[in-house]
Amino acid sequence: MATVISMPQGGNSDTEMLPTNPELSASGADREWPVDTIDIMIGLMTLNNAGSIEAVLKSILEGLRQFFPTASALLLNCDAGSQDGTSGIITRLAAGILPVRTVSNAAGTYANLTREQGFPGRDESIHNFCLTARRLQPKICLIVEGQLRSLSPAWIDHLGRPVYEQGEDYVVPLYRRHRYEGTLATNLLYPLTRALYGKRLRYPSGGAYGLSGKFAGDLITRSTWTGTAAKYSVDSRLATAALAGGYRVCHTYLGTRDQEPTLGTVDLSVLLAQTVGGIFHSMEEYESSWEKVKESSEVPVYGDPESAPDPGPLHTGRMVSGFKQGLRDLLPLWELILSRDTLGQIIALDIQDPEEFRFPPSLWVQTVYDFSLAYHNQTLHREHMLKALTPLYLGRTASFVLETQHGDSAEVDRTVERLCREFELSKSYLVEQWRWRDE
Amino acid sequence: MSDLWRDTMVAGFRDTVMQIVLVLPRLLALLTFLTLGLLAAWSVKVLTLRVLRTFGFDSFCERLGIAQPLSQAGVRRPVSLVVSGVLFWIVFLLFAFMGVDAMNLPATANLISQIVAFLPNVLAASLVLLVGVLCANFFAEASLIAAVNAQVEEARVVAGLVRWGLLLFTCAMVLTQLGIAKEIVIAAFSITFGGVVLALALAVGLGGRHLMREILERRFSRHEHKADQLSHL
Repeated sequence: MATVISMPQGGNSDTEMLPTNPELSASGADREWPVDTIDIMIGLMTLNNAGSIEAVLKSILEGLRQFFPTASALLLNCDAGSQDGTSGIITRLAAGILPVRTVSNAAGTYANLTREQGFPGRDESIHNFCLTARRLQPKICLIVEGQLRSLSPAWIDHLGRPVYEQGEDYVVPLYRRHRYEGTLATNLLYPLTRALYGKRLRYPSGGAYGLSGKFAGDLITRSTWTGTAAKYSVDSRLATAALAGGYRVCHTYLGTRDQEPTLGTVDLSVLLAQTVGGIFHSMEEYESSWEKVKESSEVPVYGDPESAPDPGPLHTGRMVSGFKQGLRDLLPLWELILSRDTLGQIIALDIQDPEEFRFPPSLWVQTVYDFSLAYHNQTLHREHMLKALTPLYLGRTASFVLETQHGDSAEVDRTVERLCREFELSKSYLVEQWRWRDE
Repeated sequence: MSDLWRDTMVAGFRDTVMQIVLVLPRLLALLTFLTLGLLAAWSVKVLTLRVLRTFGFDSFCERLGIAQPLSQAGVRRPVSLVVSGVLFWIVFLLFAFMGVDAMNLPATANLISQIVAFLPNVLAASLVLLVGVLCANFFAEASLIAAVNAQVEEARVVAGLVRWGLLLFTCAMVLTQLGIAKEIVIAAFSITFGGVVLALALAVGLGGRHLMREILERRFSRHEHKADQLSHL
């Protein structure tokens, strides 16, 4: 296990100055706090997590005790309106051990009830967290979701240590995954962000993050909290803000991720629209940053990797039929979005035998770039356009699985790497078209 | 007898010639108004087009997202051309009405005043029609994409139903606004809409209640993801 970190100063656990259980309104996040120095601020994002919060909180407390025993810490419970007494449990369990603040979201802010992960109101919770971080300027900020049952004390160390010892600004977790887990990340989000911003951040989202106080505070000044940007996944926005802003980004291995199931299911098209839309939107915001990037470099990865057992054979029939249906019914929309060359190649794909179906990487890259250009150009209503990508993504995913089904994890990694290179090589097409349309 | 016949013939001829002589200047006035109207309308169209293009009106509309819905509604021309075209017809019709009024015909005696009085209804109906068509296309597109992504085989039928349902609704509103067969339109629409809703309620409530129960349970229940399910993120 990792060694104990001793904070240089300010390591008090002065609960005297911090009255317990103060309920603050959303606007209360911006008020003056009676604290001189905070070393670690932990943002615990909750919404009706009474079932898992006790285990999560115990792990946090134990993690702080083991790895940051002399640090002054503050637990900021950013609650999105729990009705099951989650905040009360937190306050009770942490009483006398750790100062706790509760920041509740303002009522009626649950604009989007179909988040791809986490819970409604999570954006505002993270916003409140960053607002507080800006006021208190802690050295280390940790964001943890209350539904993460698998959170162990070591996670506090894995997420906090790179910030404190290595000077990283944004620590993104890597979980134990099987080779086909996260196909949206491996086939779209990772290759696209890598080509755009030149950093090999494999998985942009994870439910728990480590942030430097500076990065967390700076996030408030960015325009990612309002307007169009606020409609997209907050995880995507955090990652692109870090990558485009030149902050130091890294990965850390956390092991298995197990979380309390959330209410309802989320459509793939919604997930796609939120994550991909976030990146497309950031392309407009950080245009000057990504246009100049030509190559990519590795980001530091901390911890020991773990691989999950093979998932067994995956059935791609439904994915291929989804692609087929898109080709049949969405063609008039794709005609507006895709270039003539790209559309011609898609129509020419052989879909007769689902087992032999292939969606070449070069064509996929062209497709994604055409969609980003259409987004920029507002060829269609943006949400419709992003959702119209779903059948194409299913086609690419089916092809990806079929291409690598007889190989091992290394084969999957090589395929992803080839795809990433294709994205990087074709970036000149994107830049050229983007500038041409701007003129 | 022959004198009477001659007088009648001469009187008829004289009256007709007199009427023609009286109508000719009015006809000439109508033609003049129409010619002037064409010239004025064409000038307004050209001028508007040049001004709009100089100020980049088309790209402005694209940025605002106005051009795309119009294109989706079947209007494939640039917005500047549409605006100038509308202005052309407004100016031309104005002159045409003046010409018709100048004819001083009993049938068109109060034409201008009647048209002016009816104009607010026409404008409101046009606005309702425009919004209705835009909404119909928007929601049809949204439902088509949602149905395709849910792999509903009859996606295009669903989208078509949404589009034509909204267009029907719009037509009913437009006709009501114009005051054309108001009662019949309201009754017909209520019967049709009520019938469709009742049919759907029966279909879901009786025919597909088990299916609906499954769908709702799957949608709103807390459940663990199946182990073999592909996790996309």
